[in-house]
Amino acid sequence: MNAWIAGALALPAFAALSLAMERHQEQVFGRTLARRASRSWRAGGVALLALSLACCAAAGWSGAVAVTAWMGLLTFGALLTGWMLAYLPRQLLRVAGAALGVATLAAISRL
Amino acid sequence: MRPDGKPEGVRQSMSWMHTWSGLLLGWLLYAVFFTGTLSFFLDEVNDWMRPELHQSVPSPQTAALAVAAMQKLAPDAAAWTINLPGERQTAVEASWRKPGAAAGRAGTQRVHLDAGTGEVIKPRETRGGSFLYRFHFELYAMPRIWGRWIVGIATMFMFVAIISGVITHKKIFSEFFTFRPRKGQRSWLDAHNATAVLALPFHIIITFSGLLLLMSMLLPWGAQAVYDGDMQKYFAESRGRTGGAGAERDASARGGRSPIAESAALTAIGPLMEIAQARWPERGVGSIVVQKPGTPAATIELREQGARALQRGTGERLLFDGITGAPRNPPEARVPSAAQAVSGAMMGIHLGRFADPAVRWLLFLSGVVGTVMAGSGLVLWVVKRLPERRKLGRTPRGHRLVEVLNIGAIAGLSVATAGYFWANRLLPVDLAQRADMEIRCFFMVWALCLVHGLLRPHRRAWLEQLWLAAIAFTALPLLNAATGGVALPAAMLQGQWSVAGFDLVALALGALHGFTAWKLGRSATAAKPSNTASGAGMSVPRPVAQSPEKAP
Amino acid sequence: MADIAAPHKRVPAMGRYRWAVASRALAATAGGYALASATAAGLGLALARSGSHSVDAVLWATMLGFVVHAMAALWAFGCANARRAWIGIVAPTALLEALAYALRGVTA
Repeated sequence: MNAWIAGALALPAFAALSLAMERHQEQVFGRTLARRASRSWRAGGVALLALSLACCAAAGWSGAVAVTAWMGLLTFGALLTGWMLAYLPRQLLRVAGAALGVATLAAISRL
Repeated sequence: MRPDGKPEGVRQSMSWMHTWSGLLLGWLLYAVFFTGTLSFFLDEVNDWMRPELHQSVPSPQTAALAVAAMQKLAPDAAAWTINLPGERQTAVEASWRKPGAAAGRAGTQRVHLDAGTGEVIKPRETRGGSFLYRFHFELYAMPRIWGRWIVGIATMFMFVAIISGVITHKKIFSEFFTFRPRKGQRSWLDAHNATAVLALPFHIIITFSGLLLLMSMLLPWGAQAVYDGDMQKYFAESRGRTGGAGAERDASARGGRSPIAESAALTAIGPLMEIAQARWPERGVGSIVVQKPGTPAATIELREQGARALQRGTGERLLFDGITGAPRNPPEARVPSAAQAVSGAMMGIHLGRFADPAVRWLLFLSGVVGTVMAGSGLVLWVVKRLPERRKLGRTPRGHRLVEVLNIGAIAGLSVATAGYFWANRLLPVDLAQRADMEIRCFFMVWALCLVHGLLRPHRRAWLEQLWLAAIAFTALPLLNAATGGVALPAAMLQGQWSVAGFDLVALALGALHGFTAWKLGRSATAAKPSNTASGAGMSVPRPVAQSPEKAP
Repeated sequence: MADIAAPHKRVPAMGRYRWAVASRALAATAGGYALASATAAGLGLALARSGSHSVDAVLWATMLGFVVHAMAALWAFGCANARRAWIGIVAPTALLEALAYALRGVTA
């Protein structure tokens, strides 16, 4: 379960990181954002990446396996983000938000 | 490198290196990636290719039935190893060594048992998935060492290609998520970059660990120097320090039985299995190893299904006295040193040794990404040079060679692999040299695809082979059920995930090839097909609308 | 980017270009392997003689050997000319071989 949560977090993490770049801000918002907003998006993305790694550790995988699994999950979050930016940029926030919501609910249900 | 000899920047020289190190052995590397990716599911392929095993449905009595069967089959053995069915295999696979038997595979007897009845099953003769697995690092039809050297050298080329690729990709961060569809050469470059960069940690580790797995052959000079030429001592010391399986196997093989051993009945396996199940609720018991069965010194060791840790020898084990069933402490797994942990972890990832199903799937998908990276690179080389060909008015021989090899190596390999699975079911069961004939079919189909690519116009060749692969893969589950295997719905219901998994992946591969063929077919009708003088050009898709890229 | 699959372009320096590529390729492959081997031997012995366990010394040195081979290949084609390629590879190889030779007789 923790592994799924970690995977679900990868999409919003990379979506956030992409929104720190002007090219992708244009695709999703139709305009570029101020510097501060970009930095916030980047910070949020990094935080979600770290959280995803923590979930991998909590999934019972030991050190090296956790990092490996994390990188594997990230790969697919990144690929999905890239694919959405190319074909469905306007939907990216919605889908990433949904993934974040599902991950949060799943995490809360385990507490 | 520039023909006029002028100096160039690092990025340019790295770009040149990347292209040549990738291209020269790119077709071999594609095949290595493809077969390697399939090999993550080696056990599943082996199961699917032996439909006689599909009748075996695991049950709670499997362990007891297996032990009873072994007592009938091999009462005098020095040790039994019983691999229980699980997510990755549907029957029991047992092996044993007679006392005084030859070392290694020669002295080991193997048998398959029905997990529901304990009966011996004789599956058809086939190399199964092991052919693809061995091809991955040893190729075929040549002395093993040659095959390994060729693959080893190709791996070093791959390693250089990765590093030079990273150096030359100056927009690696800003273009991290960039994929521009329907822009011809630009799209191919984006696809190559995306699959390469986004799975870069995987590619680096897989490639470098590939070198490590062959290191005693490729670069033995360190061991030679430090151990003064005594390689056996090096191997023994590195095995001994991890307390790995090798050390125990040697001990058990040499152990044998003392001549005055009285026979003593083995304790019931049921209660031991229950203890183990309680300890490992998620994975269950993977295998049972009985040392000196039938003697007072017998021991029973239960191992967890698929070890958690990356290090061998630190997987979960439970040891019991063979007669009383009393638990014993298993030998301490020694803590590996930093060097062994690092190299062992990387090699473990490559082999998927530690992988539970989720991680194994991630590895498989990463392998698919890597295969797409290799293939897209090869296609990119051709697409990038199409404008030059149009200007020339003809196709240079080198370009044509790359084109033809691309079809054969990429689409042709898919068709050949599907052909291998079809041959497995269509060749008669009692055919002589059956296993070799299946492999011969694989190579014949591959060769035919190469010829087909030579004779047909380029785009037609791609489309025809991709569609053929799509149909051949998609039909595999039907072929499976029609030729004595367990049908997909039944397999899923009965929990035979090895067979079901194969059928599902076959459908997915069929869909992937079909999708690719469909997209390729569409890109021709959307754009004006560019017929070069040779008539064999691959058309460069142009954007449908001329307006700047808009978000839908 | 250079396209040597199009020989119809009769550039006068084509022969020299091909020689340069061949020379650098040899430096990258054979020279690089020699450097990797020397690294594995020299560094392995150095580590073993300075207290590392033999198995560890061999592992670190061999892993580094592979990395060095790749670096040598990149150097062979990235540096300014073929002569530099060779010097940059042969010189360290000689040094490391000398080191290995010296340490071979020494016991830890």
